[in-house]
Amino acid sequence: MKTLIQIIMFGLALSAGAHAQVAPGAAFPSPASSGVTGTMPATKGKVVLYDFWASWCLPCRKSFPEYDKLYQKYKGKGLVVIAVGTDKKPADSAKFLKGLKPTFPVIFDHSQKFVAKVRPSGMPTAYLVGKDGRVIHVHKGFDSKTIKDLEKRIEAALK
Amino acid sequence: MKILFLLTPLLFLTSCARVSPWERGNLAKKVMAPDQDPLGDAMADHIYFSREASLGGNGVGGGGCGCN
Repeated sequence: MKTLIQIIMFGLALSAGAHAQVAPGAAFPSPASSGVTGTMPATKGKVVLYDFWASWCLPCRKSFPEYDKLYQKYKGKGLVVIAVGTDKKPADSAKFLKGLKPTFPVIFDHSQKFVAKVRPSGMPTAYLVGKDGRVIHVHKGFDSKTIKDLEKRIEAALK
Repeated sequence: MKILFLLTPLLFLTSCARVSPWERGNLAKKVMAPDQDPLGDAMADHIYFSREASLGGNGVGGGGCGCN
C-alpha cells in the first residue's frame, strides 16, 4: 500500500515538474538549441525582449507596432527585441506578419519545442532577459500599460 | 489491495487533455464548436419550441407560448 502511494506521488511530482515555467531569476533557454527557424540576432551582453506570439491572438497583433517603436527607441542602447512565432503552420505565421512588417527580428518555433521549454502562461507573453541571460521580468498579455511598464524595466536593465 | 492496483491506472487514463496556451488557437476552430450547423439548429429549435410551446426552454427568454 505504501509503495503504491509512493508510485502515485512520484507520478504526480513528475507531471508537475513537466509544467514548470521560466520565471524571473531563471536562465532563459537558448532558442538555437530548440530547432527554431529564422535569423537569430546576436544577444550576448544585450538586454533581450522575447515576445511569444501566435497568429490567432489579437493582442499579439496590437503589440507588434508598439514593440517596434520600443525596439527603434532602445536598439542603439543595447536592446534586442525577438518575436517568437509559435504557430505550427508556417502559412499562418506568414499571414500574420504580412501587414505588420516588423523591423525587429522574428524567429519561428513551428516545432513548438522552444515554447514548450519556456512555457508561457498565455499569448502574448514577453520575457525581459538581462545582459547575464537571466529573466528579469515576465509580462503576460498586452494592453495600454504594457509598454510603459516594460520601458521602465528596460531602462533599468540597460544601465 | 488488488482493486487499488486495477483502479490506479484509471487515474492516468482519463480523456482530459491539457491545452497549452500556444495551442489555444485550436479551440477557436470551427470543428471545436458544439454547434456545427447553426442554421439547422436554429430551425430545429424553432420547430421544437413551436410544437412544444416551450420558448425559453433552450436558453432564450420568453413566456413559453411558442407564438413567435
